[in-house]
Amino acid sequence: MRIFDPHIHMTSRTTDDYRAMYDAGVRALVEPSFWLGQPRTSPASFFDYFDALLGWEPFRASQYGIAHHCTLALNPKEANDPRCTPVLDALPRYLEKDGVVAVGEIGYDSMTPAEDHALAAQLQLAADHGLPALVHTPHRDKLAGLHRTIDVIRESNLPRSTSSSTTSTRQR
Amino acid sequence: MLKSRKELDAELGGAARAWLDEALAEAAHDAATPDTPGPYTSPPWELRYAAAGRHCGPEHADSARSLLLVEARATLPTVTRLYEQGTAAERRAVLLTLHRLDLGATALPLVEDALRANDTRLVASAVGPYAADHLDPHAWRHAVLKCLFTEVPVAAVARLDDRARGDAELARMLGDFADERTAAGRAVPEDLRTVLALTAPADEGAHRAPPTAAPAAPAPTEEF
Repeated sequence: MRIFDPHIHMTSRTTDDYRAMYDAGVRALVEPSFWLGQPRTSPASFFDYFDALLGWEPFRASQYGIAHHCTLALNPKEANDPRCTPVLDALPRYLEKDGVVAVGEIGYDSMTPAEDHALAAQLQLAADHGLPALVHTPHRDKLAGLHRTIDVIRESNLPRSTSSSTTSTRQR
Repeated sequence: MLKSRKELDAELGGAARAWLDEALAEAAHDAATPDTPGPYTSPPWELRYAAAGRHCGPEHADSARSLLLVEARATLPTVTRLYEQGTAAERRAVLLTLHRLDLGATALPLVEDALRANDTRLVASAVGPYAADHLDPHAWRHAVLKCLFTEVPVAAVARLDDRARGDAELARMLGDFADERTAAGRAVPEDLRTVLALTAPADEGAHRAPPTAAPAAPAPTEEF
């Protein structure tokens, strides 16, 4: 059986995991960009991370027979740090690159005005670049957060038919 | 490996060809009236550079990107930005095109960066004609060893025979590398013998046995 893994953070995994995944049948995956645990303090730190998801990580995956794709975005948690928000200005050049299959993970963490702005701006980027959006739902106040997320997506310019996929993540 | 505009046009479908026409026009426009990008934004043709894989197909992306670089008469700041901001495929197209741009030796830092990578696609692209023309002897020898170490076929090294001929220091490095591999019980790359044979001085090459007589590992170092 051939398996497509639509959501896995390979950056935090070893090459042994790639081997095990291949043995289990995984032939392609999507790695959504997200928070790394340690908050970033500048756009440059994001760019190194994005570049790794477009450079070294696909090479690492290819050595084990797995096609690596990614989704790129300013994640909701770090959207609250004004030092990081210029990432939004650089995303257009990333969203044209081979291997980038969606804008994500976007969504809400604490449901702040800064998160509202980042979510709306990135849904628009997805519409502009003809990409789907990968939406993370908040860990706290999840039901209210989900309703609010759906409202924002309804108001966006993303076409309804190829609309966003909703997903959860184990990262906190 | 890189296709000309004519060859590319013959292979691209109508939509891709139209897309490339527009992209090349934007690049030519930028060459005439250079745009000054902000710290996080890019001129339109540079977005086309990134998107070439999607529109022309991965098999034609190198050629399309290379044509864009030439058409835009890309300067050092531009190739540096496209390399630093590029995926591995975008970086490769920069490396493959350096010798077609009017850069002299100024873009060597990009080649040196690629030679520090362990992504073999970048290493292979870094040892082309530009490296053959501009890498100093020390860096060039290390580039050859890097190919052997990362199993990039030395066929990728431009003008290998020219630059290796009579290079006693390269011969010593190859011999030491073969000794080290043998001592560790590891295989000596087949390509090592190929390169070692090429290091014979030109005048010796005429009189001595052909390269196939190169010694098996561990290679002697004192003969060269």
